[in-house]
Amino acid sequence: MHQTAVSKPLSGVTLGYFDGVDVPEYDKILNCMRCGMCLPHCPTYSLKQVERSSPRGRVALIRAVADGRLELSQGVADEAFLCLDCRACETACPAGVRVGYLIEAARSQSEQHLFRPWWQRVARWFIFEFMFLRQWRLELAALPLRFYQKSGLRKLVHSSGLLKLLPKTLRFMEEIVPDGLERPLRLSLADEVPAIGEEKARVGFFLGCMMSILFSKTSRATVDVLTKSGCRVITPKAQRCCGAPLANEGFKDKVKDLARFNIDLFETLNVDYIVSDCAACGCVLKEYEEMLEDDPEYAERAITFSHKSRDITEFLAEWPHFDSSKGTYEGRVCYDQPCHLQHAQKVCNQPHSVIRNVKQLEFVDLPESDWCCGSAGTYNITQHEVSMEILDRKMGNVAKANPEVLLTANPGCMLQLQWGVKQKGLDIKVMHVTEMLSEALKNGAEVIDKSSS
Amino acid sequence: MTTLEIINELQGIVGPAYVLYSAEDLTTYSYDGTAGIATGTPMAVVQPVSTEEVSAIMHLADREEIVVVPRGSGTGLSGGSTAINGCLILQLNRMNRILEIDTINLTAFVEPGVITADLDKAAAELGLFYPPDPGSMKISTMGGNVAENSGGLRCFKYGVTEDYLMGLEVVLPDGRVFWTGGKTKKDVAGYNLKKMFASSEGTLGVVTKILVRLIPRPPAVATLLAYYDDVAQAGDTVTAMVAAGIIPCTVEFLDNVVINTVEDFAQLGLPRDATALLLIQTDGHPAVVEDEAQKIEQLCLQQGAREVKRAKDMAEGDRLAAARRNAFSSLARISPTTVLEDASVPRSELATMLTFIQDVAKRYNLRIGTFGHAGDGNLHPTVLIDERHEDEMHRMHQAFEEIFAKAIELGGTVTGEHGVGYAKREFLPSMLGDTGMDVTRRIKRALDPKGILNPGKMLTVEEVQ
Repeated sequence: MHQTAVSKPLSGVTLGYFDGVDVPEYDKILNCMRCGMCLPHCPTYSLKQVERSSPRGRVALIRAVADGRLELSQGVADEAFLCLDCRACETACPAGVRVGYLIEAARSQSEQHLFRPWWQRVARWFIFEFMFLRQWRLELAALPLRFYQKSGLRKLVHSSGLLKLLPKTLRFMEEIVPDGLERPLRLSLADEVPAIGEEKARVGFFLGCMMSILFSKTSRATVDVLTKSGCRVITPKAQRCCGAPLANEGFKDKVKDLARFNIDLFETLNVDYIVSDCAACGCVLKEYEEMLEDDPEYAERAITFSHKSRDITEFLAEWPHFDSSKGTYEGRVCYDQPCHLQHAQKVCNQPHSVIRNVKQLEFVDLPESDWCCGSAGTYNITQHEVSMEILDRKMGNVAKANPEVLLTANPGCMLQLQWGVKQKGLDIKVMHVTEMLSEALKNGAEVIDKSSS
Repeated sequence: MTTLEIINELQGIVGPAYVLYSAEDLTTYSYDGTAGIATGTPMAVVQPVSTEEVSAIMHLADREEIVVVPRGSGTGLSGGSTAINGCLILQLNRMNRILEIDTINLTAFVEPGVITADLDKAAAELGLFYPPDPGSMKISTMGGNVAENSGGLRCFKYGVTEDYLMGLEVVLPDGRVFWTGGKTKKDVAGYNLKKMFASSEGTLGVVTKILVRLIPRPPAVATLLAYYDDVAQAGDTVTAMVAAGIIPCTVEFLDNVVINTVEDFAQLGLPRDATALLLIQTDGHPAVVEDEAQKIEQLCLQQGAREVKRAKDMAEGDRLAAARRNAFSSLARISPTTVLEDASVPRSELATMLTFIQDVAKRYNLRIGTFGHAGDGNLHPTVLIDERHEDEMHRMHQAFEEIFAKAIELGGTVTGEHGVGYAKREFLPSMLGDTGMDVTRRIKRALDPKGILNPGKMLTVEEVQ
């Protein structure tokens, strides 16, 4: 079914059956040589074994729409949303095709042109164009969850077997929320946390919605590690969502408003770096540069912003005042690479080196650590069945590696892996890299203290 | 029979889930890996899982005279598995089981949809080795490899797909099934049919089971990198190695254009003014490898290499091999369209051919970088172009006409690895001559009298009639 565009086209660009905003650039489509080197790296191709569910196939569909040979159909939209946007294909691609960019454009175009029942449109508008636009709205929504946990109601629900009555997806949504939700870090963290010892840099901390609300303890560990490494951590409380969930769900054009706000905000702080401990946020922050390249007022400023942006593991690996060998951590440790860190940001050596240099840590290779866990933003809800199949493969590899601790560097991955580990009954602790580093530094300090006393 | 009736009957054979005919599926099953060629739109895609299903499909195709195009992963580089308008794509990737690895007779028995790298991995787990390593091996299938008689980097020492072929099960265009070959190394009963089907490009039959031989896995490998100021010296080095009784398992070559492109992209510290780079690997017993590596190093320097590096360990070997590994990627990022071509000449003519390619590039004002398998003279001149520029595309076709003519003149071939498909049909007559073409046509007519299996690939439809 075809509906006319629901949003006014800003640029009036038309390319085949694409028109409106976020029309993909033809050059970026043409880059694909159809060599097929992406196919063995694509989790959905591995499951579906049909060309349309592969990166090459999706790019071919987008090209056909752009050439006017294929209508922008529900079939095309379905494939765009079946894609995990893990970007493993981008790592494999010899020609440097920006598949993620094309998929996000296709999703945005689908949103603009294809039919959705009114209640879906309302729900999606509510979540992605209202709730995510202000941190306090998300925090307010999280409040009942915290009460649900702290009051003991959750324990009751779990032990009663009530969950089994829920449809699979809803049950999953209940189970995936981590225990021990605390006050969002945005509300409890000081605006500025000075460095311990000599200050070597002013580091802006980009909190990220998920980390602040669901994993505030972890982000606190990030601040801890930064301050112990000579960084004054400056966290502007007015910050807004980076925009990743919006780009993911086909609201890519709306990310620009968030980008402008965040750029304005961080500019006032005069920081040397902008650090994030969420791989998804980090990826989008680095993409602000491209998003705003046609905005005369923000183009330069977006470049400055993106160039300052770092993932925490990336920052620590390159920061001369951090040395993970000063930390001790006993245990068999695996590292699962978040897709948006390794493939999208091309950051892989840094977390590996930062983890492996910790003393006494036994690093165990995780087979297929470069393969998605299936979390992929909202994918584990919107494409639940496929997400679970992909998670099965990941859990198989985790069981094979048999670590005591499974590290990762992204909240989405943490949620998915924690759930997977519990589901399979594996005795494995899932942690963020910074949590481990923070603990390691504390242990290391004790060792140094003990040896010097 | 109408399209709908055909689809219904196909659904009866493989089940409704495995007959695809949506606009999206038809679009995505129309192409393969070949750049800049026109493709048709299939009528449907069928995904059988057994020989019986393939046979039933071909019986139907024969009865109703439906054009069928067999397809593996669709990564071919000459158009062999591209769709013909109104055809049925016979998609074989569901037939992906490794049926047996016989560690006593050293054979592997596989279905056509098995990915080549997966076969070699399974063999490696048993200390065995399936040597043919086409560049696409992580995704190309054994069936596709047989259809194109695929080569790879290791073929100088180890040979190509047909050298490992011991048996085939084939479904003919009329649906009948037959088996040829077996596990014995020697078998001269009848014509060598299995070798005929290898490189038949899906025009004579559909391969549904493949028996290949395996060899023991070489325990050690040494990697060397040598830079030259003169291409002839690089070619002479290979000759010198052979004369010294050394057959390295790979000798990969990069020309100056590629060296600079790789350096721009990967910053490996390659000397930008070197005319040629050779990546040499020798494998086998550790003592032999050590001895050969030392000799190779000396030979390279004797032939005039300005510098030779030898890897101390696997990690360094990987670093040295990085230039070759990045060659294609670095070229592909320069322009929207990358046309990877394929022409082989006898090794003695390597320098002549390369100089000619560079001259052609100048005359037609094209960017061409050449890398390839120096050991067997198989070169990949790669054109960096934009397919939207009709004039440029026209010049490229003219340039290749000259390059292929030269290859033939020097006693070589227009296609060492990629096959004829659509892309090189016009050059086949000059390679085979009138009688050779007649023999080829007769074989095609004998096995596919109705012309339903991949018509127009390798031979034009008119040629066959």
